[in-house]
Amino acid sequence: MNAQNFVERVNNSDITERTDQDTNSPAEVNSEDAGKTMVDAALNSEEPMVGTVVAADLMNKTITHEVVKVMNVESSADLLNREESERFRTRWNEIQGKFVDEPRSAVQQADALVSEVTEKITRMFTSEHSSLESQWHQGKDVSTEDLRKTLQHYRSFFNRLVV
Amino acid sequence: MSTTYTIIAVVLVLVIIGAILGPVFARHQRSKRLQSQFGPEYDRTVQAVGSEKRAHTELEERKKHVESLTIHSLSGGERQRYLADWAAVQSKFVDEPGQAIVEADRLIMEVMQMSGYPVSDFEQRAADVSVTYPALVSNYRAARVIALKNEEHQADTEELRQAMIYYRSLFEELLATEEVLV
Repeated sequence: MNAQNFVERVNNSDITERTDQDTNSPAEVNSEDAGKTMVDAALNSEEPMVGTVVAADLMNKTITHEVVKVMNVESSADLLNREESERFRTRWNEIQGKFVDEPRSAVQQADALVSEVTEKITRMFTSEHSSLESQWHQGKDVSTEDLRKTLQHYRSFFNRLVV
Repeated sequence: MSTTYTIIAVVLVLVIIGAILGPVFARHQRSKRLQSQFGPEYDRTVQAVGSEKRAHTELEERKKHVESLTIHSLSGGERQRYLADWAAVQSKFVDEPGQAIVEADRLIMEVMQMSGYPVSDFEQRAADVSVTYPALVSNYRAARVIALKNEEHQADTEELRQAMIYYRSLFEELLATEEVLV
């Protein structure tokens, strides 16, 4: 999907129909999607967190994470596959939802979740890198395409960490 | 002859005692009944209006008012939607606690109107809630105090979190209503 599609999709979706009542309008509220959008914005965007949350909120829930990704043309490489991302997102939404009841435990669980995600991504980099290393050591030619993909992965992670 | 006079005198005395004690007893019964129905709201009302007698009138009027309404439970679909709305508001608390409180309050108003309560100010809403959910009206009032503080930007995050929980206790009851009330 290109930027043009994104704009169209946004315009065709309910942004134009939004009223000040929207957050309360029963038909449109889907907490899971809302959380998803927010988490996606946080995971994918190169903007500061605060900005993306506001943006995600403004854009309402029908905008799925693919659309948000389009905004971030630099991070085209996915670090986690779709199911993994979904699972992590679901867990994040649960944690955020329970903050009101158990703030402390929510923060502890968020810490654990973030550690888990980071470890997973670090492991992925380690294995990618060591596979390249081993190919180099065996005197094999690593294809430029593989190197390009790897570099994209690194950039993807880098962009999410460095504003 | 004197026996007849004695009997008349005794009966007269009894009637007088009855006339004096009757209303006292009736008021006591009424007080007990209202107290057991309204719980802590009873004492609050006595304090607010200044006397037990006026509190009785006030509480009886509240009951009459709610009885005159046609309160009905929400449909399954409406319930689901409002539950989802609530989950969204509760999740929003993490980013905008103050705004989440405002929306939680608004959701309660909406659900009340959907259930047949008239559009009214907070005091009237609380009065209606006190009839149907006497145990929860104190939570509703406590949340209100925090919401007003929030409007002045004086409420801290922990207070706002408490308000959220107070609101939810009422919200859940409003949604859980399974049959026609009153």
